[in-house]
Amino acid sequence: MNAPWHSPLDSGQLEMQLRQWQSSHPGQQLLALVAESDQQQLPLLQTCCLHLGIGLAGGIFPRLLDGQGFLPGGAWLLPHASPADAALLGIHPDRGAATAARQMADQVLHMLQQWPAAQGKPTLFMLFDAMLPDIASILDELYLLLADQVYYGGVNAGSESFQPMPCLFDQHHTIGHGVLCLLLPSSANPVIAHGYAAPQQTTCATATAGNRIFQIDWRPAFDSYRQMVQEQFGAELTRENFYSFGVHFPLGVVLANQQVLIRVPVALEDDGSVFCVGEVPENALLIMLQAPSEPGTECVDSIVDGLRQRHGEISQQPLLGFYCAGRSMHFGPAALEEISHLQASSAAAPLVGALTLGEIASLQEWGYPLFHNASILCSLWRSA
Amino acid sequence: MNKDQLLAVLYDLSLTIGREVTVDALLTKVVQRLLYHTGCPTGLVLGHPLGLDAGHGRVLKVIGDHLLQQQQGEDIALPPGLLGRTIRSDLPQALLQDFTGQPRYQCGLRLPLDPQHTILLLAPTPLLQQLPLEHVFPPVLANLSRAIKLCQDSEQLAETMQRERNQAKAALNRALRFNQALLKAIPIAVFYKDAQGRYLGCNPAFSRTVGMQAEDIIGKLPAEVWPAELAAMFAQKDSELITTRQPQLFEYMISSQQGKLMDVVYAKDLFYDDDNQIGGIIGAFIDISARKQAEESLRQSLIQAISALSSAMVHRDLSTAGHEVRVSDLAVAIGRQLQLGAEQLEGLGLAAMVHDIGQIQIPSEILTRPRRLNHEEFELVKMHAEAGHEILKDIHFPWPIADIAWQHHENMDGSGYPRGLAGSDILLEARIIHVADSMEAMLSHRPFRRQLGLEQAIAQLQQHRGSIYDPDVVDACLSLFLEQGYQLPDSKRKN
Repeated sequence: MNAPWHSPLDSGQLEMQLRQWQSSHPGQQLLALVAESDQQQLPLLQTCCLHLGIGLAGGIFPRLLDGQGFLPGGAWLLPHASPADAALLGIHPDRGAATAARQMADQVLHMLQQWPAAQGKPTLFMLFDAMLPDIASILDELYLLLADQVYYGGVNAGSESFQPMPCLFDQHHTIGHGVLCLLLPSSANPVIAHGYAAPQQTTCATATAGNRIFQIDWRPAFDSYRQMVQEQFGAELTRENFYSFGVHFPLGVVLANQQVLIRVPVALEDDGSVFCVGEVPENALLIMLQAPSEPGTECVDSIVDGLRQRHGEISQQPLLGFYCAGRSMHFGPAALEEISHLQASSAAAPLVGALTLGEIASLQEWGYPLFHNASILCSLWRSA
Repeated sequence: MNKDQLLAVLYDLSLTIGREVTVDALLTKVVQRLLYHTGCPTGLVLGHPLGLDAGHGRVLKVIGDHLLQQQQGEDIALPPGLLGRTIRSDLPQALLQDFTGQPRYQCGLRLPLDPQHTILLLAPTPLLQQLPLEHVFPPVLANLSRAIKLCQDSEQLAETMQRERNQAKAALNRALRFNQALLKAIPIAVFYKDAQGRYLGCNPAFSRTVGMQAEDIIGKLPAEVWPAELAAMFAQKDSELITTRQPQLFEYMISSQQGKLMDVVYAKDLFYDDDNQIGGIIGAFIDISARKQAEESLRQSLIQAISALSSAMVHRDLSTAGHEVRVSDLAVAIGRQLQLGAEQLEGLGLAAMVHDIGQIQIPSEILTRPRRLNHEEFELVKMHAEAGHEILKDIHFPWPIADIAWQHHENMDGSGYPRGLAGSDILLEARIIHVADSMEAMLSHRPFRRQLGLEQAIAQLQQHRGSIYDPDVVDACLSLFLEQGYQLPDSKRKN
């Protein structure tokens, strides 16, 4: 057994399972995706790995998923044989994106020295705490430092309630406000898509700062949202129900190559501004999107096509898939159909993944890493 | 992509161009945004000062290709066809491979900014084919070209300003070092403090005097450095200085926290800041303890010399023995009655001790003759005032003792001798000694007469008040005898 497996993190079984796996795959490490509902079991996993000398790294996510839909809890354990240990880094909130990127780049350059040239260019897979306000800026700075030495991929971990929590870990520590960097094989270079189209009629966000949007169409952001929700759903928008309505009216940055980067508003601030996961570039004009009512199949199809273009036949291979929590909230039960479609069209064995709070990938096979919301992000998972 | 969406992209690029002030930051941000918008993995900026036909150029900025980044800042060969006046999104792969040495770039987008700068975006797939680039981008690129020029000018200006700042800083440091060396070298204690009296700095001489290290003094108030009484005096003086803005110079005896006493001359003044507001107080003091001791020693020597001279007089005329002592006692008592200062009283007492020193030149037979002197003899006696001046004038006293001796027989109305001085031309001390001398003479026996009684003596003073004697001095003398019961020292014994 070296495929990813789901563990209920049962205290009676976990150490024995890990011991068995370790005996057949000595020296390998584990990437763990832990369900938020079972986060209290994380110390057990860490203790077992520490006891057995297994390198562990991972994050806590709102929910886990497989080919049939969402899992009730537990953890996905994904074996890998990376020659470099993962780097778990705390990011100081006041030192800026450039410092954080320098910190990450130093670690990654060190890891690259241990990466065998025969394995080709690795993928830098990053798990960020979703509460970091400047992830897109960190990626901008990181690309200045690392350029094309790695492929870029990653997701945001954390709580779906957007409450701060320690959500990143290795076998020793669990931290918040940080990033976990792993070097994985090139097969982990993800393909990303969201399938949201830019509308012909645009409504612009006219005042933004970091991950906060103050005005939409020259009016306070909250007023614009309240009016839209009133017109569309006949409901009164409040701080408490904001996220459940905001996911239907995401904001987007239209790029010159006609791609759209989604920003899902997730919370309302005291001053009437809207808080997004992943900041808006300083000078960008955001447009307001209306999320498609049905997911359709195009998004999943484009991802599977992208994977096939890169890797050829992908069926019966483990597929790592991340599904944006905001997208799931917008589509509701239809999100499960989209996940089922991903399972069916990829014939993944198994499909493992989680709901995420932000996704990171380049729009092409290699190049500039961009921060996304409302997307599906997939890569093959090859343990060695 | 519709017009609104396109405008959003151009808005982003335009703002990016407008907000940077250095060439490197400008090129970094612009290339970053171009990569962001195009999805291209690699972007670079070439500088070609020789124009668009140049065979060589410099790689000014590379983002996204770590191999090309190694050539950043270097001159490289530019293959023909790479540069050009027009925007071109279909640069041939062979040209790109020739330029980069890498086969992976299938497509290249050329964005000429001006004849000296070109941006290249490199990608494995076609770029921005849907956009009318040749219409959309030229204004943005022209703007970028101007921004580069502005940044270059700005950097040049900043460099010049920095150079000037560095020179000014170096000059300031030199001046500071010189001042520090000067302060360290001078033996006078120097300090400076802020307007609230808190010490800002001092030299080693000040530290030694206070008995504290400079670092322990700085930041402290006088009350934390000096004994309480001194600190209060300094605070009072500082307050006066700030109010009057007049420099201060005063003598004082100070003691350090360790109790060491010293006489000092203190000098204080204000210094001002750039806005001409009071910046604080600068002060210095010189230890004059040695000088003070020398002065005191000299004073004692003079007193001893005067005592010796006075003794010599006693031996010349035993009938007037003790005259100088009695005159001195009465003169000082009158001076005190007239509220003279201690310094002046001391000079007065000493002058009285030697006022008749000129008599040393008069034959002792005349001085001791038991009858009234004839005119010639009296003329001889009158010479003693001038003779006293001659004897004393070459001795350096802190008081005008020679002049006092010269004038002690001058009368207020000018009828006295030897020069017939009148009124305020006569030194006050001489006027006092004149009264004291007469009073003592009238109250003492002489070889040629018996002493007058106090009543007669007083009547004489009153009679000549204003003509011979200074009226104020007479009043003071009468007050002593009539109201305060004063008695001449020897009179007590004799009477």
